[in-house]
Amino acid sequence: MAQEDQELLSRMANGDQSALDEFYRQYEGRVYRFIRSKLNDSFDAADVLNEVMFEVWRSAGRFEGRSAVSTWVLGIAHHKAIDRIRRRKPGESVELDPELAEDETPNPAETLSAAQNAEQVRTCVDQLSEAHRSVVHLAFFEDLPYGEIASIVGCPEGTVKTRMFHAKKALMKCLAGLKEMGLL
Amino acid sequence: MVENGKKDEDLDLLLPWYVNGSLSAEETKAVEAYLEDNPHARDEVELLSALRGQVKEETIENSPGELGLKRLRREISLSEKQDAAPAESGTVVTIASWWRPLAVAACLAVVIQAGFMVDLTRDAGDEVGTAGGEIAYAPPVLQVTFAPTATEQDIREVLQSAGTSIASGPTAIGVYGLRLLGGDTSDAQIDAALTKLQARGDVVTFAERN
Repeated sequence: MAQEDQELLSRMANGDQSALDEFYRQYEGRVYRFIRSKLNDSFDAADVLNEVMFEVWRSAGRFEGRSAVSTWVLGIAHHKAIDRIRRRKPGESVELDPELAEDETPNPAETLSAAQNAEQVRTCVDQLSEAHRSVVHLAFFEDLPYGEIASIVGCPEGTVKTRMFHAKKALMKCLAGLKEMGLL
Repeated sequence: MVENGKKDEDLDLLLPWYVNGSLSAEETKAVEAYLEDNPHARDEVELLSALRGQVKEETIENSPGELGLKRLRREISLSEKQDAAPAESGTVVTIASWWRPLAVAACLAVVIQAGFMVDLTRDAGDEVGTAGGEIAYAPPVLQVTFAPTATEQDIREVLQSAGTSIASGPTAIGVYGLRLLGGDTSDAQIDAALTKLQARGDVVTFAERN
């Protein structure tokens, strides 16, 4: 697969649009889902997906093979999505306060039943900061190793691990809160 | 406690990647040894597995799919034409998203206008009479997207000249469904309308049969 992806990029670099079609069909769903997890807005996500694929088309010749093609594409998606978030008005997204999330983390066994409720998990994931949501998505939806996630989001491996740690604590606290309110 | 040179807190940080199965053999061995002696960590693994299961199963709306690919091809083609053309202004138009506010404004204008058009064109024959004497509106036979820079007046003129009106939309990616005015939905009529829409590439960026 990796070899085939690189061949697609080589063909794209030579202006072969059928290679772009193939590449798009292969990656579009995955890239869209990643962007959507960061932006929480389907219109913006479709827009950013278009920007990402456009960038892939323009930069295909510059791919050096130092990472997997999927890592490279998701990295572009990460940066494009961050650009979009920065252009949004401040205060548009409501994110869980990390300070609050750190306070008195519930016991994992107590929040397990809450974590089995899809709707509540989604509610809590949506409240995470963009950085935490990205790591959760890449680790749990894409099943990527922490090293690859670090390449995608452009930070040290230690930061990826810490973000995941804080995300987990925030999710546990949120789920426990919903349980306490009788929403589960 | 130290296992294979890693402290408990280091091993705690690895638990999500133990759950997704992406740790190295050495790390996996260290985490498994840690789990044997640590019931709290085992509870965390169970919780993380449940969270991973929910994240994987989460359903979201469909991605843009083939419509997104058509949009991409169109923008690449436009960009290549601009690159190939003599540098009139010395600038290259990038596919930035400054157009969104314009697009939203255009969409709103179109929707408002569509409301007027439905009223104004009812006598023009976009209604389909039924045997029971009820009135039903013809379904969309074409789908289009409009240029971000198109004004409400541009869109109105194009729709009227093609003998169409808006029947549905916009979707999340800005696609509108169009119906034919006049009640004739023959292939020839649809093709004629499509040709007129496609001829106005400055206003209609994408048009095809529904």
